[in-house]
Parts: sequence; C-alpha cells; structure tokens
Amino acid sequence: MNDNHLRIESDEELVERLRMGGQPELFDELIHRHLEKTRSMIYGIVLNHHDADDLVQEVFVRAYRGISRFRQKAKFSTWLYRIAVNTSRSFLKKRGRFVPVENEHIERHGIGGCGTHPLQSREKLDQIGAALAALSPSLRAAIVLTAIEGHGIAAAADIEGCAQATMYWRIHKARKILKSSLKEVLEQ
Amino acid sequence: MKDTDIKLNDTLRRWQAEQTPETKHMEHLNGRIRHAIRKGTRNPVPAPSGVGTPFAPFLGRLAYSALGMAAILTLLLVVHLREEEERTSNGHRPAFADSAQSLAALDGEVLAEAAMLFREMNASLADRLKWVAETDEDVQVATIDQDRPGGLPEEGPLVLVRTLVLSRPSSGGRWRSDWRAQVVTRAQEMVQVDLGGDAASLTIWTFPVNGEAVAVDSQLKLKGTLEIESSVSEILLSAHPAGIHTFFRDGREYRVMQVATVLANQRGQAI
Repeated sequence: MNDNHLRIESDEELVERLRMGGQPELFDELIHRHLEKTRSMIYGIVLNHHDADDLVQEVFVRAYRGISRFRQKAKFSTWLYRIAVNTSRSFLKKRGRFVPVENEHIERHGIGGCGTHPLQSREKLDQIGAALAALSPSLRAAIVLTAIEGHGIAAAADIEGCAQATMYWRIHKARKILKSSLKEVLEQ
Repeated sequence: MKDTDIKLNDTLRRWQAEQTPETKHMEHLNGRIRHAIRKGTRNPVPAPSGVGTPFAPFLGRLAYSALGMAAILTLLLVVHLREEEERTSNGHRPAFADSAQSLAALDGEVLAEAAMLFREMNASLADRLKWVAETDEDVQVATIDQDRPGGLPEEGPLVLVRTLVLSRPSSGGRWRSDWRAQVVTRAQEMVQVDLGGDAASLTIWTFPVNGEAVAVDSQLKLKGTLEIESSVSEILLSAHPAGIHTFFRDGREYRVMQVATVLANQRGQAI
C-alpha cells in the first residue's frame, strides 16, 4: 500500500497542487476544513446569521480566485481568516456602525429558557450579543479572534495585519468594556 | 490570565456555541459555496485589498522633524505662556459654552486609568511602548524599534492629549461630540494615527512646559462625512480644554478642541 494514500495533505500542500493546475475539487477539502471556523469568526464580527452566510461565501470565492497570490510564507488558514476579517469589516463599514443583534437562530433552536445551562437564558444571550455589538468592529474582531476563536495574540495580529502591541491593547480595551457591560452576567 | 478574564472567555465561548448553526445548515452552505466557486471560475477577481498590506506606515522621517520642532517650540514657549498668563489675568480667555467645556474636560478617573493602562502595557513590552491612540472606532499602538539609534529614551513624562470635534447649529445651542481621539504618549515622540480613510490621520507631538502647560503640535485630517484639515501649534494650559480651530459648514458651527496634561513618568510617579 502506498503511504501517500494514508497521509493527510496539509492545507498548504493542497493549495500548491491547486496552483499547479489541480481541479477545483481540491478546494472543496479546504472549504470542508475551514468553513465552520471561518463562519463562526465572521458571525462573531457581524452578529447576523444571514450576513455571515453571505460573507463566508464571498470569502471562499475570493480565496479561490486569489489563490495564485497566496504566498506560502503564511499558513493558509491565516491568509483565509485575514480575508474573512477584512471582508467582514468592509461590510460593516458599508452598513454603518449599527449592528443588529438577531435572535432568529436562537428562537429556531428553542434554546431560551431551557434552564439546563447557565447561559441558556434568552435574556443572557441577548445581553452578550448586545455587549459585543456595542464594541467597535476592531475591538470586536480582537475579542472574537482571541477569546472566542482561541488564537494567540501573535496569530490574531497576523490575521488582522496589525502590530502585536496594537492587538494586545485592543483585547485589553475590549475586555474592560465587556466586563463592565456584562457585569451582571459574569457575577451569576 | 486573571480569573475574570477566564470567566469572560468562557462566557463568550458558550455564547458562540449557542450561535452555531445545525449541521444541515452548514452542509447547505458548503454546497452553496462550492456552486458559487464553480460558477465563477471563468471570471477571476483581484484579491481583497487588505491582504498582505502592511498595517502601519513607517514614520522614521517624522522623528527628525520632531527634533527641529522641539528647538523652535522651546523658544516660543516662554513668550506664548506670558501672553496666555496676561490674557487669563485680564479675564480675556476665549469663552466656550459650558457644554463644549464639559465635553472636552478630563476627569481624574480617566487620567488614572490612562496612566495605568500605559504602564501595564509598557511593562509587558519591556519599556518599549511609545504611544497609544484611541479613537471612537479603533485603538492603535506604536513601539520603539529595538535598534533605534541611541537606544531607549530616558524615562520621561507621559502626556495625554484629547482631540475632539464638536458641532452645534450655527444659530447656537448645545454642542455635540462628532469625533474624538485620545493619545497617551511619551513626551517628544511623534504620534501618527492612521484614521483609515484616504490620507486621514492625526499627527501629534508634545513638549511639557514647567508642569503647567503642554506645547502641542497637531495636524488633524479627517475625510468623508466629517471633512476637516487643521494644523496648529498651541501651548495648552494643563487640563484646560481649548478651541484650536473653528469653521462653519452646512448650517453648523464646528470646533476642534484639544486638552492636554502631563500624566506621570513611565513608572507612575507624578512629576
């Protein structure tokens, strides 16, 4: 048996094969690997499910079309997430600062009021969504990338294309604002 | 990481988990994306503009102009302060509506917090933090280059400068704040804040004077809905908001106000 068939190709290897004239199906694997996390990141920034779906589609289409410009110096995921953050922020800039916090998904899943989980209260979920919506897009992106998506400061700064010191400060500021606006939720 | 940070992270992660769509929704979305990619492969588009673009411009040459400005400003300081003192003692200070003053005023809590945040972050950056600027939309930070000629600057004072654009109807009335930026910087460092739009920026250079005043050289360029270009060298009495630029447009009076004060040195000691 050929070992190559057992080995899982890295993102960068898939990208290289794609750049060398591979079939678009190779990109399907990259979509499969990164769709959930990319959408989750976009949703955390735009706070609207419909917009998050449209934007994640735009991000993958842009990534596919721009794959020849991807430089292997960075990880593919970093490059992809940077497109996601930039696309989300451009979208918010066009739409204006107001971020409608929706509850459509929460209602669809019937989560509110189940009482089995400390967060499973509609009111608390709304409070958290509203607190995130009140942050500026750059502070929100910083807290989404680090606190929610689990990136380190260096990786988050790389995705945002800013200095680590700037990212550190944004996180510090976002935490401070969120701790104040979510004081009741955090004390429960 | 503090306990409160851990709790906040946990809360936010649980919130995010509650927002995750069902598998069926994600499968549909996956199919939608693959379809969009295959449909559009004959029409390539440029990569997003932000990809691979350095975030901050290099500002080295501004540091040299700062040295020149320092010499000129030092000569002007004494004269200007005397004039200011005379105006104040004669009751001729420019009068602004109370609302404009209060919108620009600095309170003790803001000063203490700004100094504390700067010190905390400066410590985490091995004393290399140069300045921090906060606008309504963003926070930007600059650090001192590792290989800066002459090494790290001597421990000097921190200066806070707040710049606001206020407006009210031309006929008078209450002021409202349209835009603001707060900078905490080491004295005599050139601060250049990228405000995102085309050539929109805030440039500030400060020089504390005898603990009673701060010389501030500033240039503000705003584009878009609020279009302003203001370039001023002022000596501001510590913590006294001053109007540095006024103009009328579209039935409104606009005023750029600035307030500055020395916070402490980098170790938090009052000077």
